[in-house]
Amino acid sequence: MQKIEECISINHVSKSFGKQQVLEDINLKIFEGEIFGLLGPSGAGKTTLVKQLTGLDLPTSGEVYLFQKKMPTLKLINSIGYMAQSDALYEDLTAKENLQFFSELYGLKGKDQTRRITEVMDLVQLSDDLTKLVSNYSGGMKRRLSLAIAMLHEPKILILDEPTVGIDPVLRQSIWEAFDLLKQSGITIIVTTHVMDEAEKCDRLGMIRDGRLIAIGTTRELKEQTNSKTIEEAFLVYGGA
Amino acid sequence: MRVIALTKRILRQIVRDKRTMGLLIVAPIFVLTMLHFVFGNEEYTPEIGFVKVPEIIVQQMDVGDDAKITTYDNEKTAKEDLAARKIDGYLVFEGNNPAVVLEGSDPSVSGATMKWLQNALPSVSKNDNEQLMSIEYLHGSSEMGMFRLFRAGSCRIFRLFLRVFNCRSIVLTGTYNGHVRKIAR
Repeated sequence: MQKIEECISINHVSKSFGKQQVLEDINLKIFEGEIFGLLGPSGAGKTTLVKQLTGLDLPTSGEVYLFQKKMPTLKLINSIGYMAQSDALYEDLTAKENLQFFSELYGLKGKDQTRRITEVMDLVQLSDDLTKLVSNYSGGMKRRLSLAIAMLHEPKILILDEPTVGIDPVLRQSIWEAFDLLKQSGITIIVTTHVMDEAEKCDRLGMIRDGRLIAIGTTRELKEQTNSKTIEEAFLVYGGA
Repeated sequence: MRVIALTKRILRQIVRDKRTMGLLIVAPIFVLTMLHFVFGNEEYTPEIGFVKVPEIIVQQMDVGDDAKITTYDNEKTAKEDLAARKIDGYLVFEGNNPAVVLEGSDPSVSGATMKWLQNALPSVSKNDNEQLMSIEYLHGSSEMGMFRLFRAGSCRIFRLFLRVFNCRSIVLTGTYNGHVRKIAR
């Protein structure tokens, strides 16, 4: 097995909003080219943790390093693709205009821009709906467009906050296949989810509950350690113990 | 670069958004049209009474079609007509001195009357050493300021709405103020 570069490291990160402690002493390393899943029930702190990673939010204590650089830093913004939990799209513009706007923000112009737009829209299978207004899109289509926007500038790290909510199983399958393709091209993908069967598709998993990381490991490791057949059972063992 | 991208996006959004376009273009046109109806200078023909105006002055005056002249024999009947709003003001001569009595509740009407009188009486405006006309008001005063002006304006808005909704048959019986009587008429 070749040596894998460490690309994200989270050291003793805690976050609290006023008196409410949301994250408690989180230590985590994520390696290049893997799909890392953050699994936890709603309100566990998944989104908060992801926001520390992207530099959207500052931890109360502890540090986050991306490619050995301390976050938050503007230099790394172009190497992160972030898809938020709620769609941030301009509903009164068409999908193409949305993509054009975001690609211009990333500095993509002319032929590069058109090429990337076709590529990402093919990936999420929205090429036929390129000129439709986003307000006429279905929920799943909006999710996919958000995903396309996150991938526009070919980031090295793709952080996806619940990417497959509201997407049907067939499409979910194809999106995961796309993730595998991206992974093979060396992109690190971090996915948060609360769907257990989706978690099994990740290379490694971090289980979060009440702001604490209760387990880290590959799906097989986690299952073996708890003598359980599914990730769901494993989660219950870690969480209930 | 980012600024250009932002500008493009915002302009596109504005063009797509019908409500914003409506507020940006249609609403000002509507408001300005309403304001034009309310404050616009409609040509007003003052109705003026002449009381004991010497014949020689009447001949000198450039009466024209801009005012409706009624001649009175004594000031009392003129005053009664003024109070009944049959005339907007009257010109009276006490000896050689001209005096003007205006109804005065609508500044624009008073203004039109005074303007006509000043134009019509050549001696008043041309000779500096001539004593000025004395001006009296039945209602209000010459210091009727912006407040009264706006009241007159809002009164006109009210009249406009009455006209629009075709409810001029509403009879306003209040007589405390000239405005109200005017509306009722």
